[in-house]
Amino acid sequence: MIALESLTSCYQGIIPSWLCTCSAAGEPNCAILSNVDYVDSRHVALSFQFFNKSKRNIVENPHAVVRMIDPDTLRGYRLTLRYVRTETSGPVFESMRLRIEAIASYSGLKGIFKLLGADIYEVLASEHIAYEVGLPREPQPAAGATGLTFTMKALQEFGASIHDAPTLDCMLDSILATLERVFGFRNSMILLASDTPERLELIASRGYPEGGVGSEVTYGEGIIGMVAEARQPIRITGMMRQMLYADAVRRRAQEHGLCPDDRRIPLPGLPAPEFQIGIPLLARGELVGVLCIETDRSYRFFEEDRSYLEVLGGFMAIAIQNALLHERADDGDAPLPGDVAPAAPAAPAARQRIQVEWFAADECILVDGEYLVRGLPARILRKLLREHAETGGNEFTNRRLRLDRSLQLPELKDNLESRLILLRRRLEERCPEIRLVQSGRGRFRLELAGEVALAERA
Amino acid sequence: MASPRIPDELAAFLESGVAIVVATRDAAMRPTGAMACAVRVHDDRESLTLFLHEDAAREMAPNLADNGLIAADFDLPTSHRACQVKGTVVGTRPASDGERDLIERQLAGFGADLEQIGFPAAGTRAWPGWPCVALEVRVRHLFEQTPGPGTGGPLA
Repeated sequence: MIALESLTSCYQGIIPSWLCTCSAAGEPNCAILSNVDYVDSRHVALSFQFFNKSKRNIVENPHAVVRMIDPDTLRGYRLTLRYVRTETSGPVFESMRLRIEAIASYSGLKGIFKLLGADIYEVLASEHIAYEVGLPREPQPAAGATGLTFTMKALQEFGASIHDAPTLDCMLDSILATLERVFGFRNSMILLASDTPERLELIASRGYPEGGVGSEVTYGEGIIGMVAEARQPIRITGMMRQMLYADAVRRRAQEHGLCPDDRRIPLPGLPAPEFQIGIPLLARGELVGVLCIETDRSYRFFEEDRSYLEVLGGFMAIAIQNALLHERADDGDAPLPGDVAPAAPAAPAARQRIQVEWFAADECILVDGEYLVRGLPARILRKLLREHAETGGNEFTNRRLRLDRSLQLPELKDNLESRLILLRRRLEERCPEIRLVQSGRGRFRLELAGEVALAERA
Repeated sequence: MASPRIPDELAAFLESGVAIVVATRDAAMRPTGAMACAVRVHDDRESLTLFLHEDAAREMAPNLADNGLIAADFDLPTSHRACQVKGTVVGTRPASDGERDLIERQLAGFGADLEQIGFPAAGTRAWPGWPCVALEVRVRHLFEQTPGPGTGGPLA
């Protein structure tokens, strides 16, 4: 008997497994599986999504066999199983449900491609398969396999990147840079709660040609929205294959007239990620945001990594929340530590005229006909431009903004600092001629490289 | 009951180089499975030959001697189009040299499809596809197996 704990790589879902069952009348059946989930040293779980023959068979006759392949060594393993029960709640069910619903959300299949239950099997025997199509005679390492290196030193370095950041703005970039330097994650993003309920906005990203600042994710959409809704980490490995599986379900559903929603939510970031993990940033029970990491190649994720990342998520959430509170408390009077302002990009060449349009009904701003921001960041930019046009002033403090009733900031938790970071970064991406340059804690300067024409629309 | 006939288009799909998983069971209704290397659909469209590596066939032999029942799932990894054939093994024999080309062609097709979804080419090239045992199967049922609503319904 091979210990189930030693087969961690097989549970990644990187290489499909297969399941053989038999009806009570003696008819054998076989099916391809996306995932086998580890439960404990004597049990595994298989997803129950459709009332198919495998499901009917194991209810009639609990004997089953599953074959798994270790993607690291390409060794095959056969587990002899006995069906025990189906769970429709609890940690095993929830973990499987979130993964499946994130895939369903990407494919516009919510409500159709869903987990009905987690079928729990006792493992009666586990053995190495000497021969199998798809397995070379000699085990060999799979290309491109990497794993995390969670060490005290790595955690120390991560902590230092947070402690050393003079502002929240710097901290966000520093966290993502450290994730790459220490753990090798080249593509990552942080989304924070927006001023619209149940919506997150991307505030910092790393490793993408388009920064994507201001991109919105509604709760329940994709892996990020599912993480926000469930407040639990979700990881998806072998994404390309799982998306193909969902596409097959989608085609079948359409053939059966069951899929009226043709909306597909684009994957964030990489065009074809192989691995994604979303981590909730929770501080004192409050969802501050979501960290999403993805890779374009297969990635070995071990269960213990999840605990580490949850710890990092908690640490990040508290650090972000503290930075927000700290900057709010300073509110314009304190210089930055060491009087060092975060490096602002070089001022661009001046333009003759920058056309800025404010649309009152949607509370959004377009620059030269292109969407820039909406909501609170848009109200702030409108105020800054109007005040500059009327008084010529260009120095602002967060405190003054906070006291301005026209901005309609909520009494509590206004998230003004994070909205300003979002606005500043969005301008850097879309309209570098308008700059908000931080000149101290809670203080910034509006710099214009051109004449701004602000038009107010209904 | 008359055997269902495998339509031409389906026969071409089965022989195109896909994942083939076969299941049998023993007298105590305990299933076992293995992957097959290839398939040839006969001209009568009511029978086919499944090619299993001899090691896998050896493991299946007691079950086939006991009851002869077999299920074969055909699945194309890049599209997840799948169907299941239920049949009865009516004979076994060593695969002939003349069948080796068909077996290797289908294995290569399956490998190429897997490589499109990231399976390492070094792995697929190292597959042992020979020597094989040929299982002569009389088809009893054909089922849709593509995942989603309606899966498990009869195909012919």
